[in-house]
Amino acid sequence: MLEFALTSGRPPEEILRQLDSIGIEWYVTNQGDLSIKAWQIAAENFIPAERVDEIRQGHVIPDDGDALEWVSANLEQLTREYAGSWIAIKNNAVVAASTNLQELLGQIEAQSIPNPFLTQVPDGPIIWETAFANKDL
Amino acid sequence: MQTRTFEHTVQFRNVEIDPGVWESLPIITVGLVQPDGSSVELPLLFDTGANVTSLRWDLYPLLGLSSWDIGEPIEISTANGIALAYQYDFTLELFGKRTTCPIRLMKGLPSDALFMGLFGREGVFQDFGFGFWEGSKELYITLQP
Repeated sequence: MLEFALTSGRPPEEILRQLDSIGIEWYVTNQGDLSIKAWQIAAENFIPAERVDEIRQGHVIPDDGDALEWVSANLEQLTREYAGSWIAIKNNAVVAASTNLQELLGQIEAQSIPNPFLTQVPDGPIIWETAFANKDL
Repeated sequence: MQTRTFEHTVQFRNVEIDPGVWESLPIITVGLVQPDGSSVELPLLFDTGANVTSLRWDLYPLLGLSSWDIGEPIEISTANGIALAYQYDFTLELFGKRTTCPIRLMKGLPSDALFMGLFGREGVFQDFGFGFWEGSKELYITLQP
């Protein structure tokens, strides 16, 4: 389908709208190349969750980046709901939250959530006290 | 002309580093293998200037520690003077490849939802290959340097 669209001679804007309509994430590089993210589930419950680390060893897996992207895109809402809390993200949703990290880990274990993405939502302005500050040193 | 091949591309992230001041930074998602064998994913700032991977001090429960300051004490020179850190050995996972390396817990790292620490060189960088393309705000990674 994609190959057909790209060779159809249609304007780029129309092709990108079509990618949007069928849920394919795209990105145009500074060089003008079109990148697409087209990973999809081919078989659910393909292996037991406890075997994932074993199967992944030594095998190149793609950058999903989803949790980080999702946090970045939803930071305002997360700040409204979870300011000051530690949160665990899985499948683009907050699956556990607590102001105490140890307690959050307990929630994760109780729910048997594999490989959650963890972060803390700041409850105030971000302050850089060490290197990498964007200030004259 | 030299040619390098990378399997992964990570797009830089826009981060508010001061109120109203935004910067594009190479932030990657790194797995931290916990003592019980499970792992959690943390956003870390890819930092070629960091000798050792450094995490916020308050992440010590992820390392199975009762306190952040029971490891080997290390003094670190930072832009704002000397900071005290404590060092431990742990396993990190990047794109499915695991490596055991020193990890420091330190105070002073900013509280930012988009990164929890610095991804540094020691014990890690030799197992991977990295490349930058600032113009397109991209970090390239190979697991087979």
